[in-house]
Amino acid sequence: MLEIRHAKPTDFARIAEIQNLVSPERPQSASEMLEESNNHDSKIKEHYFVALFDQEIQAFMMYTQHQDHYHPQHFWLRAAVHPDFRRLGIGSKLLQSVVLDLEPFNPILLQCSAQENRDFSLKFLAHHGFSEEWRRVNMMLNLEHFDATLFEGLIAKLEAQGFAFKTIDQLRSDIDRDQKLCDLGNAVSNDVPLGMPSTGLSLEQFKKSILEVSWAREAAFCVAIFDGQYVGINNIGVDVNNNAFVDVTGVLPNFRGRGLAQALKLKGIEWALTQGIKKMFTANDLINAPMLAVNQKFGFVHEPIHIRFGKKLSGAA
Amino acid sequence: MKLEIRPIQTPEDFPEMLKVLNAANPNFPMTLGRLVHEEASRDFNYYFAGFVALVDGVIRGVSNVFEDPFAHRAGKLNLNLRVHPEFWGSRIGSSLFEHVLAHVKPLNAEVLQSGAGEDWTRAIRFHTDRGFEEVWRRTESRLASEHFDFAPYQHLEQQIKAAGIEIKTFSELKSDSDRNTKLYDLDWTLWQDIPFGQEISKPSFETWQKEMILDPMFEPDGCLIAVKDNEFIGYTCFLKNPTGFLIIGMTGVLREYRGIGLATLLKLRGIKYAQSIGNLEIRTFNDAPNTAMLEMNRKLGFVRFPGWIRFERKL
Repeated sequence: MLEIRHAKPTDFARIAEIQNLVSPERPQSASEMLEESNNHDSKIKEHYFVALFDQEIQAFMMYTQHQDHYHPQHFWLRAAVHPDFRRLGIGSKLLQSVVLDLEPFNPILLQCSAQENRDFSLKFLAHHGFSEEWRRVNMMLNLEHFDATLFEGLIAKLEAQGFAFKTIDQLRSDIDRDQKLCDLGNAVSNDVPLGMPSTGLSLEQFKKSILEVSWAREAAFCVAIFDGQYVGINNIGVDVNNNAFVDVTGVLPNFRGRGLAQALKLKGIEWALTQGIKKMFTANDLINAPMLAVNQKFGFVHEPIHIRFGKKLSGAA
Repeated sequence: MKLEIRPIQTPEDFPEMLKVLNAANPNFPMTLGRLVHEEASRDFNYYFAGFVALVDGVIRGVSNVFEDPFAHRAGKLNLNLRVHPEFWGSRIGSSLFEHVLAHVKPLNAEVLQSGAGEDWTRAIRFHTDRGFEEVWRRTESRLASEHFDFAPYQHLEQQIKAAGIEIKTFSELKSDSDRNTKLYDLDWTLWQDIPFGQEISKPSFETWQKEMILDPMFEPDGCLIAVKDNEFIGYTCFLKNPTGFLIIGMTGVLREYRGIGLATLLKLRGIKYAQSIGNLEIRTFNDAPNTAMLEMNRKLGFVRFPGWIRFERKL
């Protein structure tokens, strides 16, 4: 009656439906999920399981690995159970199926995240031996009420200091653009206090998962340039509800403290406003006080915190 | 030989535990799916502790001790203990047993219940040597479905239909939004008349669904329900062990509909189902005092096999 099996491509419409029902804050379409899976580097182990009740998918769980924080024995889980089918042990069965499927890879750490206000998820994770590792603050900016006056003159001041702000479609003539963006992305990612060591992306992976992915918009990827050097980035994506989300904002250490991150964010917001986008989301680590302060200045307001959980498996040091 | 006893790590230990469980009881093979199901369905309002015994790092014994939510009795614990046959006589069972006893001591339980097959001479001795006494027996009967002769029962279909009763599969009743709750209520009513030898507690609807409908052995087409005027009045449930046989989980009819051959017809439909999915063997367990059901099974051609002894000892 309850069947757990590997997901087929045709299952993804229902998987996305359940995930968006349970976690509406960052909706994904089926094609985005499939795209994400297909874009992974071959070293990434990823698999979706679905649970069917009366032949209809009512839950899924997947495991994958961080591309840019890669460890061969660390796995990231994501799951959702349709609210009408909770407390039936379906999540536990899926988790056990995942753990057994992972055995050949000798996993030592399972990680996942849950929103702080989702009691059901928190209890499930505590029950299965996951413990809190890290907190990320989700923030939302209502673009309809965005007040740009606070930032008047900022961009002009920086331009006067020799900085230029270009979106990546304006940088196509730079034959090294993608490599430079990739290097900068990896450099700033290394400085994001995520609590996990960054391993960076290869150029090929950067292209696939950042530049060419369906949520990306070339005109929303802004670069700060100084003397020909790419020194800061702000990349905005657009989700299936036509809301914007900040993929990354970062500035090289030597260029911090000058308002570059704010200028880059401002560029991103200006672009979003031209697109008629109503909301912008971002997430920062709770300990990343400087970025949280910048976001607050822009009018981003706190939404429920995402807690990262980890479970060490036997064999883990 | 280095013996280590430690708590079960779920589900990482499951593949090795399976080897022990299936070697110790090859007649009723466990599957990974079933171990996963049992763990996922567990009601943590009731005590449970599981242990494995490792010999030189390999699991050779498995034991768990728990409060049975269905037949719960204050002060009673249940024990399961299996050792790989190649290691019988190596004191693994004794060590696991002593470990379990020490573990549950703080609970101040009064009774430990366990069980063994009637033909498990070694296990029976293990129990009697440790002060267990027999308290109940369940018989096992089996039927080879392939050559079952339906001819003597041809009248039954018509007879039951004439009484306004239809037999439908669980799948066929999918459009009935109350299907699961109606079956839950019926199941509980029918259990009242089963001489089980223990008081039983009504599971919550969620728990019942977990244990029944979400059981990997549950087959929607092997669950046959007698329906009259939209009411569920009887049912039988043929569960499919993935290693190739069926187990009858329940056959029962409400009192007011007994004596008209409805239970027999439900079983006949179950036998047809067994034939339709590869002429599978059918196994059933009945409590020794349930003479009515034993007689019905005998008439249908079920053959007695060694049954199951329930043991108890004071703690």
